[in-house]
Amino acid sequence: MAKIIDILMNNLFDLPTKMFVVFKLIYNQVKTINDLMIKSDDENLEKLLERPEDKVKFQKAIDEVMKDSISKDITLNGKNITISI
Amino acid sequence: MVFLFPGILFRRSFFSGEFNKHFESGNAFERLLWNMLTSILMLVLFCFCIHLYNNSSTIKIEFGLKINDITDTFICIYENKLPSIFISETRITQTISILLIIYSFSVAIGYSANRIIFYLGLEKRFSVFKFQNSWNYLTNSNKQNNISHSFKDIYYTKVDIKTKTEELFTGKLHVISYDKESKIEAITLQEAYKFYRLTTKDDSRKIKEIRKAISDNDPHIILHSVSKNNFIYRKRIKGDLFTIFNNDLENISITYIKISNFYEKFQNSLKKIFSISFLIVSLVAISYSIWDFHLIEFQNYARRLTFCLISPLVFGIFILFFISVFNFKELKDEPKKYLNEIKDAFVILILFLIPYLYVFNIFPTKYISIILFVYFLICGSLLSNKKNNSQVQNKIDIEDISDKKDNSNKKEDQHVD
Repeated sequence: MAKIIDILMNNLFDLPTKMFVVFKLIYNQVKTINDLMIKSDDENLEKLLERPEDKVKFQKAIDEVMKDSISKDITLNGKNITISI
Repeated sequence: MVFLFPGILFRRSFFSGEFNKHFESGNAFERLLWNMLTSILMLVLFCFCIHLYNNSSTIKIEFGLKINDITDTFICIYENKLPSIFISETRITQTISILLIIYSFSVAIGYSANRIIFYLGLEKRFSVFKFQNSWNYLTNSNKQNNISHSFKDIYYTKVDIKTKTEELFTGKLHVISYDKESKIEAITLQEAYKFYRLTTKDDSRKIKEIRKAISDNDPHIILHSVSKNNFIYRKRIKGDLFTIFNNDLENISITYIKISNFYEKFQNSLKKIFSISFLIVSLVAISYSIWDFHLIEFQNYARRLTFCLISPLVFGIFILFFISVFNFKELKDEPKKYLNEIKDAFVILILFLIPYLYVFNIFPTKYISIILFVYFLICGSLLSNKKNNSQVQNKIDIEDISDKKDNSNKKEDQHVD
Protein backbone atom coordinates (compact mmCIF):
# COMPACT_ATOMS: atom_id res chain seq x y z
CA MET A 1 0.00 0.00 0.00
CA ALA A 2 2.80 2.33 0.98
CA LYS A 3 4.48 1.57 -2.32
CA ILE A 4 1.32 2.48 -4.29
CA ILE A 5 0.98 5.73 -2.37
CA ASP A 6 4.63 6.42 -3.02
CA ILE A 7 4.18 5.85 -6.79
CA LEU A 8 1.04 8.01 -6.81
CA MET A 9 2.78 10.83 -4.94
CA ASN A 10 5.78 10.63 -7.26
CA ASN A 11 3.51 10.80 -10.31
CA LEU A 12 1.61 13.70 -8.81
CA PHE A 13 4.79 15.68 -8.18
CA ASP A 14 6.01 14.83 -11.70
CA LEU A 15 2.77 16.09 -13.23
CA PRO A 16 4.04 19.59 -14.22
CA THR A 17 7.18 18.07 -15.81
CA LYS A 18 5.11 15.55 -17.77
CA MET A 19 2.68 18.24 -18.92
CA PHE A 20 5.58 20.45 -19.94
CA VAL A 21 7.08 17.61 -22.03
CA VAL A 22 3.76 17.10 -23.89
CA PHE A 23 3.26 20.84 -24.43
CA LYS A 24 6.80 21.11 -25.77
CA LEU A 25 6.11 18.26 -28.17
CA ILE A 26 2.90 19.95 -29.36
CA TYR A 27 4.83 23.23 -29.80
CA ASN A 28 7.54 21.45 -31.83
CA GLN A 29 4.92 19.83 -34.05
CA VAL A 30 3.19 23.17 -34.70
CA LYS A 31 6.61 24.72 -35.44
CA THR A 32 7.31 21.92 -37.93
CA ILE A 33 3.94 22.55 -39.60
CA ASN A 34 4.96 26.23 -39.94
CA ASP A 35 8.30 25.17 -41.45
CA LEU A 36 6.39 23.27 -44.13
CA MET A 37 4.77 26.48 -45.39
CA ILE A 38 6.28 28.45 -48.28
CA LYS A 39 8.46 31.30 -47.01
CA SER A 40 9.66 34.47 -48.69
CA ASP A 41 13.30 34.72 -49.84
CA ASP A 42 14.05 37.08 -46.94
CA GLU A 43 12.71 34.62 -44.35
CA ASN A 44 14.71 31.78 -45.92
CA LEU A 45 17.87 33.90 -45.96
CA GLU A 46 17.32 34.92 -42.34
CA LYS A 47 17.24 31.26 -41.34
CA LEU A 48 20.29 30.47 -43.45
CA LEU A 49 22.35 33.35 -42.02
CA GLU A 50 21.40 33.01 -38.37
CA ARG A 51 24.97 32.70 -37.05
CA PRO A 52 27.52 35.56 -37.36
CA GLU A 53 30.23 33.20 -38.68
CA ASP A 54 27.87 32.10 -41.47
CA LYS A 55 27.25 35.76 -42.39
CA VAL A 56 31.01 36.37 -42.84
CA LYS A 57 31.40 33.10 -44.74
CA PHE A 58 28.57 34.12 -47.04
CA GLN A 59 30.04 37.61 -47.65
CA LYS A 60 33.45 36.12 -48.51
CA ALA A 61 31.81 33.62 -50.87
CA ILE A 62 29.91 36.46 -52.60
CA ASP A 63 33.21 38.33 -53.10
CA GLU A 64 34.80 35.24 -54.66
CA VAL A 65 31.81 34.60 -56.89
CA MET A 66 31.71 38.22 -58.08
CA LYS A 67 35.46 38.45 -58.71
CA ASP A 68 35.76 35.26 -60.73
CA SER A 69 32.16 34.91 -62.04
CA ILE A 70 32.00 31.34 -60.80
CA SER A 71 29.58 29.33 -58.71
CA LYS A 72 30.66 28.26 -55.24
CA ASP A 73 29.45 25.53 -52.90
CA ILE A 74 29.27 26.45 -49.22
CA THR A 75 27.64 25.12 -46.07
CA LEU A 76 25.55 27.63 -44.15
CA ASN A 77 23.70 26.66 -40.97
CA GLY A 78 24.29 22.99 -41.79
CA LYS A 79 22.81 23.30 -45.29
CA ASN A 80 24.86 22.76 -48.46
CA ILE A 81 24.06 25.45 -51.01
CA THR A 82 25.51 26.79 -54.24
CA ILE A 83 25.85 30.51 -54.86
CA SER A 84 26.27 32.17 -58.22
CA ILE A 85 25.33 35.37 -60.06
CA MET B 1 -20.56 53.72 -49.51
CA VAL B 2 -21.91 50.49 -47.97
CA PHE B 3 -21.55 48.75 -51.34
CA LEU B 4 -18.02 50.13 -51.85
CA PHE B 5 -16.68 48.39 -48.74
CA PRO B 6 -16.44 44.88 -50.25
CA GLY B 7 -14.03 46.27 -52.86
CA ILE B 8 -11.99 48.21 -50.27
CA LEU B 9 -11.82 45.17 -47.98
CA PHE B 10 -10.87 42.87 -50.85
CA ARG B 11 -8.07 45.20 -51.99
CA ARG B 12 -6.84 45.76 -48.42
CA SER B 13 -6.56 42.03 -47.72
CA PHE B 14 -5.21 41.26 -51.20
CA PHE B 15 -2.49 43.91 -50.90
CA SER B 16 -1.21 42.75 -47.52
CA GLY B 17 2.13 41.27 -46.57
CA GLU B 18 4.48 41.12 -49.56
CA PHE B 19 2.18 43.26 -51.74
CA ASN B 20 1.51 45.95 -49.12
CA LYS B 21 3.10 48.75 -51.17
CA HIS B 22 0.65 48.20 -54.01
CA PHE B 23 -2.43 49.27 -52.03
CA GLU B 24 -1.76 52.99 -52.31
CA SER B 25 -0.40 52.92 -55.85
CA GLY B 26 -2.10 55.08 -58.47
CA ASN B 27 -3.99 58.35 -57.97
CA ALA B 28 -7.15 58.74 -55.87
CA PHE B 29 -9.51 58.54 -58.86
CA GLU B 30 -7.83 55.37 -60.13
CA ARG B 31 -8.11 53.77 -56.67
CA LEU B 32 -11.81 54.74 -56.47
CA LEU B 33 -12.46 53.08 -59.84
CA TRP B 34 -10.60 49.95 -58.72
CA ASN B 35 -12.63 49.86 -55.50
CA MET B 36 -15.91 50.15 -57.43
CA LEU B 37 -14.90 47.47 -59.90
CA THR B 38 -13.76 45.02 -57.22
CA SER B 39 -16.94 45.75 -55.18
CA ILE B 40 -19.11 44.80 -58.15
CA LEU B 41 -16.95 41.72 -58.73
CA MET B 42 -17.23 40.67 -55.09
CA LEU B 43 -21.03 41.10 -55.03
CA VAL B 44 -21.42 39.13 -58.28
CA LEU B 45 -19.07 36.39 -57.03
CA PHE B 46 -20.90 36.20 -53.70
CA CYS B 47 -24.32 35.88 -55.40
CA PHE B 48 -22.86 33.28 -57.80
CA CYS B 49 -21.44 31.19 -54.90
CA ILE B 50 -24.75 31.27 -53.01
CA HIS B 51 -26.65 30.39 -56.21
CA LEU B 52 -24.23 27.50 -56.88
CA TYR B 53 -24.61 26.20 -53.32
CA ASN B 54 -28.41 26.48 -53.37
CA ASN B 55 -28.56 24.57 -56.67
CA SER B 56 -26.28 21.77 -55.49
CA SER B 57 -27.54 21.39 -51.91
CA THR B 58 -30.91 20.40 -50.54
CA ILE B 59 -30.53 22.97 -47.77
CA LYS B 60 -30.96 26.47 -49.13
CA ILE B 61 -29.26 29.62 -47.88
CA GLU B 62 -31.76 32.51 -47.88
CA PHE B 63 -31.17 36.00 -46.61
CA GLY B 64 -34.74 37.32 -46.90
CA LEU B 65 -33.53 40.17 -49.12
CA LYS B 66 -35.26 40.48 -52.47
CA ILE B 67 -34.38 42.49 -55.59
CA ASN B 68 -37.33 44.82 -54.84
CA ASP B 69 -35.78 45.61 -51.44
CA ILE B 70 -32.47 46.60 -53.05
CA THR B 71 -34.07 48.81 -55.74
CA ASP B 72 -36.36 50.31 -53.11
CA THR B 73 -33.31 51.10 -50.95
CA PHE B 74 -31.60 52.89 -53.85
CA ILE B 75 -34.77 54.89 -54.60
CA CYS B 76 -35.13 55.85 -50.92
CA ILE B 77 -31.45 56.95 -50.74
CA TYR B 78 -31.96 59.00 -53.94
CA GLU B 79 -35.09 60.63 -52.47
CA ASN B 80 -33.33 61.20 -49.15
CA LYS B 81 -35.77 58.96 -47.25
CA LEU B 82 -35.18 56.17 -44.72
CA PRO B 83 -34.98 52.83 -46.65
CA SER B 84 -37.77 50.37 -45.94
CA ILE B 85 -35.27 47.66 -44.88
CA PHE B 86 -34.52 49.76 -41.78
CA ILE B 87 -38.13 49.90 -40.62
CA SER B 88 -38.39 46.79 -38.44
CA GLU B 89 -35.86 45.36 -36.01
CA THR B 90 -35.69 41.97 -37.77
CA ARG B 91 -35.06 43.63 -41.15
CA ILE B 92 -32.21 45.70 -39.64
CA THR B 93 -30.63 42.53 -38.15
CA GLN B 94 -31.04 40.74 -41.47
CA THR B 95 -29.43 43.61 -43.39
CA ILE B 96 -26.51 43.90 -40.96
CA SER B 97 -25.88 40.15 -41.04
CA ILE B 98 -25.89 40.01 -44.86
CA LEU B 99 -23.49 42.97 -45.02
CA LEU B 100 -21.13 41.32 -42.51
CA ILE B 101 -21.24 38.09 -44.52
CA ILE B 102 -20.40 39.93 -47.77
CA TYR B 103 -17.54 41.81 -46.04
CA SER B 104 -16.11 38.62 -44.52
CA PHE B 105 -16.42 36.91 -47.92
CA SER B 106 -14.47 39.76 -49.58
CA VAL B 107 -11.70 39.62 -46.94
CA ALA B 108 -11.45 35.83 -47.24
CA ILE B 109 -11.29 35.92 -51.06
CA GLY B 110 -8.71 38.76 -51.01
CA TYR B 111 -6.49 37.05 -48.45
CA SER B 112 -6.63 33.62 -50.11
CA ALA B 113 -5.87 35.16 -53.54
CA ASN B 114 -2.87 36.95 -51.98
CA ARG B 115 -1.55 33.76 -50.37
CA ILE B 116 -2.04 31.60 -53.49
CA ILE B 117 -0.20 34.17 -55.66
CA PHE B 118 2.62 34.29 -53.08
CA TYR B 119 2.85 30.49 -52.68
CA LEU B 120 3.00 29.94 -56.43
CA GLY B 121 5.39 32.89 -56.94
CA LEU B 122 3.06 34.39 -59.58
CA GLU B 123 4.01 37.97 -58.66
CA LYS B 124 7.53 37.25 -59.96
CA ARG B 125 6.22 35.71 -63.17
CA PHE B 126 3.35 37.90 -64.42
CA SER B 127 3.44 41.64 -64.97
CA VAL B 128 -0.25 41.99 -63.99
CA PHE B 129 0.85 41.73 -60.34
CA LYS B 130 3.50 44.41 -60.85
CA PHE B 131 3.90 47.34 -58.47
CA GLN B 132 3.21 50.84 -59.74
CA ASN B 133 6.70 52.10 -58.90
CA SER B 134 9.34 50.35 -60.97
CA TRP B 135 11.97 50.76 -58.23
CA ASN B 136 10.06 48.23 -56.11
CA TYR B 137 10.93 45.59 -58.69
CA LEU B 138 14.62 46.04 -58.14
CA THR B 139 14.41 44.95 -54.51
CA ASN B 140 13.77 41.34 -55.57
CA SER B 141 14.96 39.25 -58.49
CA ASN B 142 12.30 38.30 -61.03
CA LYS B 143 12.02 37.31 -64.68
CA GLN B 144 11.84 40.96 -65.82
CA ASN B 145 15.06 42.21 -64.19
CA ASN B 146 17.15 39.02 -64.10
CA ILE B 147 17.38 36.85 -67.22
CA SER B 148 18.85 33.91 -65.30
CA HIS B 149 16.03 34.01 -62.71
CA SER B 150 14.88 30.54 -61.74
CA PHE B 151 11.74 29.91 -59.66
CA LYS B 152 13.18 27.07 -57.64
CA ASP B 153 16.07 29.19 -56.28
CA ILE B 154 16.18 31.98 -53.72
CA TYR B 155 17.87 35.34 -54.25
CA TYR B 156 19.94 37.77 -52.17
CA THR B 157 19.83 41.33 -53.47
CA LYS B 158 23.29 42.84 -53.03
CA VAL B 159 23.61 46.55 -53.55
CA ASP B 160 26.76 48.71 -53.90
CA ILE B 161 26.25 52.42 -53.36
CA LYS B 162 28.68 55.20 -54.22
CA THR B 163 28.03 58.51 -52.49
CA LYS B 164 28.84 62.01 -53.66
CA THR B 165 31.66 62.11 -51.10
CA GLU B 166 33.34 59.16 -52.93
CA GLU B 167 32.44 56.67 -50.20
CA LEU B 168 31.44 53.13 -51.14
CA PHE B 169 28.92 51.02 -49.22
CA THR B 170 27.65 47.52 -49.78
CA GLY B 171 24.98 45.33 -48.20
CA LYS B 172 21.67 43.59 -48.66
CA LEU B 173 18.99 45.82 -50.11
CA HIS B 174 16.28 46.16 -47.47
CA VAL B 175 13.91 48.84 -48.74
CA ILE B 176 13.71 51.81 -51.09
CA SER B 177 11.70 54.67 -49.58
CA TYR B 178 9.85 57.25 -51.70
CA ASP B 179 8.42 60.68 -51.13
CA LYS B 180 4.84 61.67 -52.09
CA GLU B 181 5.87 62.20 -55.71
CA SER B 182 7.26 58.61 -55.91
CA LYS B 183 10.85 59.85 -56.05
CA ILE B 184 13.53 57.98 -54.11
CA GLU B 185 13.94 59.47 -50.66
CA ALA B 186 16.39 56.97 -49.16
CA ILE B 187 17.84 53.50 -49.57
CA THR B 188 18.12 51.22 -46.56
CA LEU B 189 20.66 48.42 -46.35
CA GLN B 190 20.87 45.39 -44.09
CA GLU B 191 24.25 43.96 -43.07
CA ALA B 192 25.93 47.09 -44.42
CA TYR B 193 29.69 47.36 -44.97
CA LYS B 194 31.84 50.40 -45.78
CA PHE B 195 34.85 50.09 -48.06
CA TYR B 196 38.21 51.55 -47.04
CA ARG B 197 41.19 52.05 -49.35
CA LEU B 198 44.69 52.25 -47.86
CA THR B 199 47.93 52.95 -49.72
CA THR B 200 50.78 50.53 -49.08
CA LYS B 201 53.30 53.33 -48.91
CA ASP B 202 51.62 55.65 -46.38
CA ASP B 203 49.40 53.32 -44.34
CA SER B 204 51.72 50.36 -43.70
CA ARG B 205 51.06 50.45 -39.94
CA LYS B 206 47.31 50.52 -40.38
CA ILE B 207 47.53 47.69 -42.96
CA LYS B 208 49.43 45.61 -40.41
CA GLU B 209 46.67 46.15 -37.85
CA ILE B 210 43.95 45.22 -40.35
CA ARG B 211 45.84 42.11 -41.45
CA LYS B 212 46.17 41.07 -37.80
CA ALA B 213 42.43 41.59 -37.23
CA ILE B 214 41.65 39.48 -40.33
CA SER B 215 44.00 36.70 -39.20
CA ASP B 216 42.32 36.83 -35.75
CA ASN B 217 38.99 36.11 -37.53
CA ASP B 218 37.43 39.48 -36.68
CA PRO B 219 33.87 39.05 -38.06
CA HIS B 220 33.55 42.79 -38.77
CA ILE B 221 36.44 43.10 -41.24
CA ILE B 222 36.65 41.44 -44.66
CA LEU B 223 39.59 41.78 -47.02
CA HIS B 224 38.46 42.93 -50.46
CA SER B 225 41.63 43.17 -52.60
CA VAL B 226 45.36 43.81 -52.41
CA SER B 227 47.39 45.34 -55.21
CA LYS B 228 50.89 46.77 -55.48
CA ASN B 229 49.80 50.20 -54.25
CA ASN B 230 46.44 49.66 -52.59
CA PHE B 231 44.98 47.62 -49.78
CA ILE B 232 41.16 47.57 -49.85
CA TYR B 233 39.03 46.14 -47.07
CA ARG B 234 35.46 46.53 -45.87
CA LYS B 235 34.24 47.03 -42.36
CA ARG B 236 30.79 46.15 -41.00
CA ILE B 237 28.69 49.17 -40.01
CA LYS B 238 27.22 48.59 -36.56
CA GLY B 239 23.44 48.34 -36.31
CA ASP B 240 20.76 46.38 -38.14
CA LEU B 241 19.80 48.89 -40.81
CA PHE B 242 21.85 51.58 -42.55
CA THR B 243 20.11 54.33 -44.53
CA ILE B 244 21.60 56.53 -47.24
CA PHE B 245 19.53 59.54 -48.26
CA ASN B 246 18.92 60.50 -51.87
CA ASN B 247 20.93 63.74 -51.75
CA ASP B 248 24.06 61.69 -50.91
CA LEU B 249 23.63 59.15 -53.72
CA GLU B 250 25.94 59.16 -56.72
CA ASN B 251 25.10 55.78 -58.25
CA ILE B 252 23.82 52.32 -57.33
CA SER B 253 24.79 48.87 -58.53
CA ILE B 254 22.43 45.95 -57.88
CA THR B 255 23.47 42.29 -58.08
CA TYR B 256 21.17 39.32 -57.55
CA ILE B 257 23.04 36.48 -55.87
CA LYS B 258 21.44 33.19 -56.76
CA ILE B 259 21.28 30.58 -53.99
CA SER B 260 20.69 27.17 -55.55
CA ASN B 261 20.06 23.78 -53.93
CA PHE B 262 18.26 25.47 -51.04
CA TYR B 263 15.34 23.14 -51.54
CA GLU B 264 15.85 19.45 -52.10
CA LYS B 265 14.21 17.71 -55.06
CA PHE B 266 10.39 18.03 -54.95
CA GLN B 267 10.62 19.91 -51.63
CA ASN B 268 9.44 23.18 -53.15
CA SER B 269 6.47 21.56 -54.92
CA LEU B 270 5.58 19.68 -51.74
CA LYS B 271 5.67 22.94 -49.77
CA LYS B 272 3.44 24.64 -52.35
CA ILE B 273 0.87 21.82 -52.23
CA PHE B 274 0.91 21.77 -48.42
CA SER B 275 0.64 25.58 -48.08
CA ILE B 276 -2.35 25.79 -50.44
CA SER B 277 -4.10 22.76 -48.90
CA PHE B 278 -3.55 24.11 -45.37
CA LEU B 279 -4.90 27.52 -46.45
CA ILE B 280 -8.03 25.94 -47.97
CA VAL B 281 -8.65 23.74 -44.90
CA SER B 282 -8.18 26.74 -42.57
CA LEU B 283 -10.51 28.96 -44.63
CA VAL B 284 -13.20 26.26 -44.82
CA ALA B 285 -12.86 25.69 -41.05
CA ILE B 286 -13.18 29.43 -40.27
CA SER B 287 -16.16 29.81 -42.65
CA TYR B 288 -17.84 26.71 -41.24
CA SER B 289 -17.46 28.02 -37.70
CA ILE B 290 -19.30 31.22 -38.76
CA TRP B 291 -21.89 29.79 -41.16
CA ASP B 292 -23.43 26.36 -40.91
CA PHE B 293 -23.21 24.77 -44.37
CA HIS B 294 -24.91 21.62 -42.99
CA LEU B 295 -22.04 19.47 -44.35
CA ILE B 296 -22.04 17.49 -41.10
CA GLU B 297 -24.90 17.52 -38.62
CA PHE B 298 -23.67 18.65 -35.19
CA GLN B 299 -25.74 18.51 -32.02
CA ASN B 300 -24.82 22.07 -31.02
CA TYR B 301 -22.61 25.03 -31.93
CA ALA B 302 -19.89 24.11 -29.39
CA ARG B 303 -19.30 20.79 -31.18
CA ARG B 304 -19.13 22.51 -34.58
CA LEU B 305 -16.70 25.12 -33.23
CA THR B 306 -14.47 22.42 -31.68
CA PHE B 307 -14.48 20.59 -35.01
CA CYS B 308 -13.47 23.79 -36.85
CA LEU B 309 -10.73 24.61 -34.34
CA ILE B 310 -9.00 21.24 -34.30
CA SER B 311 -9.46 20.18 -37.93
CA PRO B 312 -6.71 22.41 -39.48
CA LEU B 313 -4.26 21.22 -36.79
CA VAL B 314 -5.21 17.57 -37.29
CA PHE B 315 -4.76 18.05 -41.02
CA GLY B 316 -1.27 19.57 -40.48
CA ILE B 317 -0.15 16.86 -38.06
CA PHE B 318 -1.54 14.14 -40.30
CA ILE B 319 0.52 15.49 -43.23
CA LEU B 320 3.55 15.66 -40.93
CA PHE B 321 2.99 12.03 -39.92
CA PHE B 322 2.63 11.09 -43.59
CA ILE B 323 5.89 12.90 -44.50
CA SER B 324 7.71 11.29 -41.53
CA VAL B 325 6.61 7.79 -42.66
CA PHE B 326 7.77 8.34 -46.25
CA ASN B 327 11.06 10.02 -45.31
CA PHE B 328 13.15 7.06 -46.53
CA LYS B 329 16.30 9.19 -46.74
CA GLU B 330 16.25 9.67 -42.96
CA LEU B 331 15.44 5.98 -42.45
CA LYS B 332 18.71 5.18 -44.23
CA ASP B 333 20.84 7.85 -42.53
CA GLU B 334 19.36 8.10 -39.02
CA PRO B 335 16.85 5.29 -38.29
CA LYS B 336 16.55 6.29 -34.62
CA LYS B 337 15.57 9.87 -35.51
CA TYR B 338 13.19 8.55 -38.18
CA LEU B 339 11.35 6.37 -35.64
CA ASN B 340 11.24 9.18 -33.06
CA GLU B 341 9.71 11.60 -35.57
CA ILE B 342 7.02 9.08 -36.54
CA LYS B 343 6.31 8.33 -32.89
CA ASP B 344 6.05 12.04 -31.95
CA ALA B 345 3.71 12.80 -34.86
CA PHE B 346 1.58 9.74 -34.04
CA VAL B 347 1.33 10.56 -30.31
CA ILE B 348 0.26 14.15 -31.03
CA LEU B 349 -2.11 13.06 -33.81
CA ILE B 350 -3.93 10.73 -31.38
CA LEU B 351 -4.04 13.54 -28.79
CA PHE B 352 -5.71 15.87 -31.29
CA LEU B 353 -8.09 13.13 -32.49
CA ILE B 354 -9.56 12.62 -28.98
CA PRO B 355 -11.76 15.79 -29.18
CA TYR B 356 -13.53 14.17 -32.18
CA LEU B 357 -15.07 11.73 -29.66
CA TYR B 358 -16.86 14.77 -28.24
CA VAL B 359 -17.56 16.39 -31.63
CA PHE B 360 -19.32 13.30 -33.04
CA ASN B 361 -20.85 12.37 -29.67
CA ILE B 362 -19.15 8.95 -29.53
CA PHE B 363 -18.57 9.15 -25.76
CA PRO B 364 -20.36 11.24 -23.11
CA THR B 365 -18.65 14.63 -22.58
CA LYS B 366 -17.60 13.92 -18.97
CA TYR B 367 -15.58 10.85 -20.06
CA ILE B 368 -13.84 12.68 -22.90
CA SER B 369 -12.05 15.08 -20.54
CA ILE B 370 -10.94 12.08 -18.40
CA ILE B 371 -9.68 10.23 -21.52
CA LEU B 372 -7.85 13.36 -22.65
CA PHE B 373 -6.26 13.87 -19.24
CA VAL B 374 -5.22 10.21 -18.89
CA TYR B 375 -3.77 10.15 -22.42
CA PHE B 376 -1.93 13.38 -21.65
CA LEU B 377 -0.38 11.77 -18.56
CA ILE B 378 0.53 8.57 -20.42
CA CYS B 379 2.23 10.61 -23.16
CA GLY B 380 4.05 12.66 -20.51
CA SER B 381 5.22 9.52 -18.66
CA LEU B 382 6.43 7.81 -21.83
CA LEU B 383 8.21 10.86 -23.15
CA SER B 384 9.68 11.97 -19.80
CA ASN B 385 10.94 8.39 -19.22
CA LYS B 386 12.61 8.54 -22.62
CA LYS B 387 14.14 11.87 -21.62
CA ASN B 388 15.28 10.48 -18.27
CA ASN B 389 16.73 7.40 -19.95
CA SER B 390 18.69 9.54 -22.38
CA GLN B 391 19.88 11.73 -19.49
CA VAL B 392 20.99 8.63 -17.58
CA GLN B 393 22.73 7.34 -20.71
CA ASN B 394 24.51 10.70 -21.10
CA LYS B 395 25.54 10.56 -17.44
CA ILE B 396 26.92 7.05 -17.91
CA ASP B 397 28.79 8.16 -21.02
CA ILE B 398 30.29 11.13 -19.17
CA GLU B 399 31.29 8.87 -16.24
CA ASP B 400 32.87 6.42 -18.70
CA ILE B 401 34.86 9.21 -20.30
CA SER B 402 36.00 10.60 -16.92
CA ASP B 403 36.98 7.08 -15.77
CA LYS B 404 38.96 6.56 -18.95
CA LYS B 405 40.60 9.97 -18.43
CA ASP B 406 41.51 9.11 -14.83
CA ASN B 407 42.98 5.78 -15.94
CA SER B 408 45.02 7.41 -18.68
CA ASN B 409 46.24 10.11 -16.22
CA LYS B 410 47.29 7.37 -13.77
CA LYS B 411 49.11 5.54 -16.55
CA GLU B 412 50.89 8.76 -17.52
CA ASP B 413 51.89 9.36 -13.88
CA GLN B 414 53.29 5.82 -13.64
CA HIS B 415 55.17 6.40 -16.84
CA VAL B 416 56.71 9.61 -15.49
CA ASP B 417 57.71 7.85 -12.26
